[in-house]
This record gives sequence, structure tokens and C-alpha cells, in this order.
Amino acid sequence: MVTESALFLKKVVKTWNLRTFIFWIALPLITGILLSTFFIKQPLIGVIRLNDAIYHFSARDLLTQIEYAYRHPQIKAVILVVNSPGGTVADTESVYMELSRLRQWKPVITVVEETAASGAYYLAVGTDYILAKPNSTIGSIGVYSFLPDYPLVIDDVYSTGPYKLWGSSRDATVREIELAKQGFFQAVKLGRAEALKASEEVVLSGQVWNGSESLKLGLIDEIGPLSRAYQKAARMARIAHYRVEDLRTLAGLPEYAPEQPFFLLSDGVVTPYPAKAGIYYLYVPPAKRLP
Amino acid sequence: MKSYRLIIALLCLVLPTLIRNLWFYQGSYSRKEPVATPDYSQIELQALPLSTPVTPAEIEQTVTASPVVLLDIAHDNMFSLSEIEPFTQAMIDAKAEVRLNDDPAKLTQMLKDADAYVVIAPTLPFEIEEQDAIGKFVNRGGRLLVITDPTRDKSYYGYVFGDTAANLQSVTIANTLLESYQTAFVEDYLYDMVNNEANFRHIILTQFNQNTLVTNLKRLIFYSAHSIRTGGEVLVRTADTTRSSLTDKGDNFAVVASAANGQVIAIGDMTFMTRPYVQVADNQLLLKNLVEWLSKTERVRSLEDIPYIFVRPVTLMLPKDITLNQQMLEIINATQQFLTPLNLRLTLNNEPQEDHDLIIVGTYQQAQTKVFQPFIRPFNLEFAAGKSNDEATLSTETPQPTEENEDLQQTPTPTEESQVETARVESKAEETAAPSKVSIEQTVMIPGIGRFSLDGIGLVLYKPGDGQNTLILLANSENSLGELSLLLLEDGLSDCLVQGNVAVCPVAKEEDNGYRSGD
Repeated sequence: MVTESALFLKKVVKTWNLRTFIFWIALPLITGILLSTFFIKQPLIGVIRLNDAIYHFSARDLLTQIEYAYRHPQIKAVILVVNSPGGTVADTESVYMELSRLRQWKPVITVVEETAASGAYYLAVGTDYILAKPNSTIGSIGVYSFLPDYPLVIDDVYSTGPYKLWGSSRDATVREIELAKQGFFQAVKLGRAEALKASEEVVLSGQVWNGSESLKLGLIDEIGPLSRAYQKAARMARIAHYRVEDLRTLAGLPEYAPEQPFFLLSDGVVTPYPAKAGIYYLYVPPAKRLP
Repeated sequence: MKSYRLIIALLCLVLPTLIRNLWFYQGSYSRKEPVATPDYSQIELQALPLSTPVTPAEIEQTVTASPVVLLDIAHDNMFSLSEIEPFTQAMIDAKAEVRLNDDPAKLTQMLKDADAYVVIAPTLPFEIEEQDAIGKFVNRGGRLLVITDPTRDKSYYGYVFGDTAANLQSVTIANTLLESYQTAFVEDYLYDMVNNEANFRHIILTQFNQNTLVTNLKRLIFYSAHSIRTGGEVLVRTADTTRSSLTDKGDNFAVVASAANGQVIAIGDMTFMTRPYVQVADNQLLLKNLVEWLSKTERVRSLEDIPYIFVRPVTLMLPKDITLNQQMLEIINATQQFLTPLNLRLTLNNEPQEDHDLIIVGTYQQAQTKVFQPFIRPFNLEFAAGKSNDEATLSTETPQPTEENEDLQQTPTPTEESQVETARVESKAEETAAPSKVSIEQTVMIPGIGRFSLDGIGLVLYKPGDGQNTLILLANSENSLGELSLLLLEDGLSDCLVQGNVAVCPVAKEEDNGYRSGD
């Protein structure tokens, strides 16, 4: 049998000449290679960097990149690299919801650099996996807001309702804060699920923890660097020999020039307090004393 | 043959794709369950738990005049009157008179005519004199309410300018008023992550002691509160899930406490009496109970409350045969000025009048006459018989007992007869002897105080009564009486030794010719 096959093959090859080789092997092979590079793209892991507070402009950039990742099938996983104290409630929730939509189709991993506090942690719990450094700052789960002034009548200003100028009563603002807190806590519970070991009281205390402590409390999944995040993302997306790309570049966004969302003192010193009134998922670090 | 070539060609066409696919992809990503996100529409906004409004209740008054509640606004207090309008309105509904003290210098005087004193979130310290006046006020039966609040701890001045002197916590200042009663606010705030009303700072209180101030309460909500440490009675406690910001430990902290046999109340929150929080849970009921406690009865005035011991038009009782000389006119003038702050009319008469308070002015000799005795007797004064006026010598030395005068030094137990006899003898001696000179050996024994030489002192005696309050001024001469009246008018009793309703005041001795020693 083998001898017969070998003899047959010998007979076939003898009939081949260069023209035959080119027409039946080389050309299909080259075509096949070209077609494969066209149809089978090298998978990408897109990286979205959040290095700012979450407010209108930074949120808009995040949403653009998330949308890009959502629409481009070549991007198989997304890594959200976070170094942020949080930001406004509405912008945070907006990014969180878009990340949730992306997660339906592609794994999203969070890597915490220095800080993922408050709103930034809100985004992190909306991803599939969270890595941090041993001394990253994580937590500040909660809300804060300045209360509006007591309503009064201004002689030269007329409005059509008692809270048109003040937004709402002070008590109503307190309850809105509580509402936002409930939403945040639900996101944490859903995002962390059984991994969460800390009690509700501890979680909502508003504390920050370092990475190691956060791991014990179940607030994050692993202590590890960015390269570990790549591996994890690749494994979750079931890809190999991938390429990592910054989604900001791919999405065609300009170099990030942050607006200043924080209150500036007269000497130009940036405070950790927001410049505009509103409700915030924001971490305000303890005030530093000058020596 | 050609079919084989076709197969090879197809393989060459497809193989790169397969290899590339396997090179990059080891499967496909699929999610077992949809991504879960919070159902924001289901998260409910907690509404303010309003209670049924409490209508102003008629508070039973035991006296006809309305109680006076003095509200402190002299210590940079961290509240506005409009904020505590539910409190002030409730007091007015209870027919109490609310007065504001905006001058620390006037506190002592204003407390004399007050039944209760309310201090809320002070951020300027009380002077020693003020603390002393408040302590004496409580000792005289006054009620003291002290309220602090963690959100009202520092004055705005201190925040903006960082002035250390202005940065005193109101807790520290309030505690200077309470330390005598073993009660103190803690510089903390209470919070509860488990049982709260829309925020961890809004603590729910359901533990009440058996006390008229709180027994009809079921639930209070305090919107930021200090805890209180007290050796007195704890009226309201927190749940054991409530924690203190100082320790982050849970305990049953006191937030309302009573001390000094119920005369002093301390409360660690102010917000419960402001709108809209006064309408939450039983907060309004607590406010009503507080107002009733503050304005329930008038404080019985004592001598230290002078001149606010008078509540009716005043009769100045003078002897029938009196000639109004210069000294007497001075006394009458001083008395009129004395009564000016009270807006009470002064009339002169030689006997008491119905529905009038009474001022009696007289010398020690007159005090021992039949006319004066009904008024003097209740004080159990023992005037010691001394040398006759003829043998009177003026000396600054305190006489030492000798064999001759030893008997005279002994004070006989006064009986009505002996007192009348003494008065008769002395009034007769008065007719014949030089007027208004008393031997320095004559003394008076005042129960509870001691024996005093009559020369150089004036006595102020006060007797409250149901239909008539009586003030008696005694001295050894008309000059001294005039001086005593002026002393009361200018300095009150600050220079006098006061024991209950008797005061012993220094006046010039006769040899000083009317000048007070030390002037």
C-alpha cells in the first residue's frame, strides 16, 4: 500500500513542472497568506488610561475610547489603567454604564496605579477583574456634596419656583446623596459579588485602604502589575500573540490636556476640593500640614 | 490528476488562515450571564419621616405672672433666632416671656428676673463672674438648659481667620457651665451606619428613661449630636449600634442628660428643634416637654434677686410721725430709682396696703417697736441690750467683756413681752436722749450667720408672701439708712454677706460721719 502510494506520488511529482508548482501551490499559498492577514487580524488589547478626576472632559474622552473598543472587533479586551480620585456622580455613572455595555462583549480589566478612589473605584467594580499595587489607595466608597444655601428672596432676581435658584432644599440634597450612595453600594455588591468579604458598614465607612488590605477585604482580585493584566485579559479573551495599543491614539483623540476641575487658591495651589458645586464620588485626601 | 492539484491548491489557500487563527485565537469569549448593574430606578429616595404636628398645649401656671426665659445671644452663639423659631414660638405659646441677653455685663442682673436660662452653642467663653452668676441662679431655683451641636462648634471667624483665640469649641465653653453638675459634652459626634435616617449622622433614638421630660416619647431623631458624660440622670440613650467619632466604638451613649435634681438639662443636638427636623418622629414632643419644663412655674425669688423680688406696686411704709428730712428724701429717691427697672409704682404710706409689696425702712430702735415687730419677728433676730445712750461712747475698738457689762452682753432669750418691753424702754429713751446714737456694745444675733455689732452694719431682710413681698432695711441711723439704700441701688448685694433672705451690709460707723470705711 505504502509502496503503491509512494510510486503514485513519484509519478505525480514527475509530471509537475515549475509552472504547475507556481499555479497550484505558490499562488494559492500566497493568496491564502494574504487572505489570512486580511481576515484574521492580530488581536489587540486596548488600554484606556484614566489619570484625572472624572468630570465632563475626562469622561467624554473615556466614553470615546470605550465606544471605539466596542465598535472594533479587533480589540478583544480592554484594560482600564486608573489613577484617579473619582469625580462627579453623573459622569462616573455614565462611564460605568458604558463600561458595562462593553463588558457584555469583551473582558475589561482594571489596573490601579496610585489611586482608585470613590468614582474611580466605582468604575473598577464595573470591570471583570481588578489588580492593584500593594500600596495603591483604594476605597473612599461614598458620596459627598456641599449643601445649597437656605432659600431666600433676592430683590432683583425673580424665578418661577422656590428652588429654581437653589436646586433643592438642603434636606432633599442630603437624601439625594443617600440615593447616590445606595447606587454606588449596589454597584460594588454586584461587581464584587461573592468575592466581597467586608461588611456593608465597613464598605460604606468611606475609608481608603492600601492594595494589600483591599485584597483581604475582597475589594480587588489580585496584587499585580500591568503585564499581569495583559496576561489576564488575554486569557479571558482567549487570545495569544496580541498587540497592546493605547485606545486614545487609535480613537484619534488629541493629547490629553486636562481642564482644572479642582478649586485653585489665589496663589495657584490646587486644592483637592471641586471647583463647582455638585454631588461627587470623590476622595479628598487628608490635608497636609506644612512643617 | 487535476483533482489532486485542486485539493492541494485549496489546502494552500486555507492553511495560512487556519494557522494564523490558531496562532492568535484559542477560543472565543462568551459571557455566561449578562452583566449585572444596579437597578437605579428601584432605589428609593428616603422621605423625611414627618410626624403628626403637636398643637401648642396650655401649660398650667402656678403663678399669675408669666415665667421669664432668658436666651443667651451674648457669646457668639452659633445659631440664628429664625432657626430656633419653633422653640421660641413654643415658649410664647406656653405664655412664657422670652428675653434675649446680648451683653455679658448684664447677665447677672437679668438672671435675677429670670426663671430659666438657655444657652445654645456658645463660642465665646463665659467670664468667671458670669459662671458664678449662673451657678448662683441655679442654686436659687433657676433652670438651666445647655445645648451644643457638632455642626455648630466653632465660630465662622475662627474658621476664616484661623485665630486660635476664636477657635474655642463650643463644647469646651458649654462645659464650663456644667462642670459643677458633673456633666460634660464630649468633643465628638455620634453616628450609626446601621440605624439611621438617610445619613449615618442622623441617629435614631428609642431608649428613654423614666422622666417626665421623655416618658411620652417613642422615637427621636437627632441630626448630628455630641455624646454627654454625666453623673446625673441620663434621659435619652443611643442604640448600641451607634458609634462615637472619637473611638469608632458602639455603645449606648447619652445624648440628653439631667443634673442638679432636674434643674439642669444638657442636650447634644440643636438641629432637632429647627425646621424641618422638629416635625420628624417625636422631636416636636420633646420640644414641647422642654418648653413645659422651662416655663412650668415661676422661680420663687430670693433676696439675691433684688430688685426683682417685687411684682406688685410697692408701698414704702414710714412711721406716722415721721418728718421727711433730707435723709428720708434721699431714701425715698433711692427707693424710686431702685424700682425703675421694674416699672412699678411707689407709694408712701404709714401702713401696708393690700395687693402691694412692701418696703419698710427703719432704725434698729424702731425695729424693736410694736409697729415693726410683726415684720421683724419671722427673722428671729436677737438684739442684745447694751449701755444706755447717756453712757454711750464712740470707739472703734471692739469692747471686751468685763464684770460690769458681762451680764449685759448675755443675750436673753427674746419673748414677745421682753421685746415689747425693750422697745418701750428704748422708745422712751429715744424721746429724751440725743437722737439716733447707739452704743457700739449693742449687737444683733442673726440665726445662721452670727452676732454683729449694730454700728457699721445695715440689715436687709426679705420675706416673700402670697399676696405681699416685704423688704426691710434696718440701720442704726437715718444717715446709715440713706447709705444702705444707695448701696443697694448702686452695687446691689455684692458687698454684703447674704444668707438666705438676710443680708448684712457694711455702712459707715457713726464716728466716720457718714463716710463708708474704706472709701
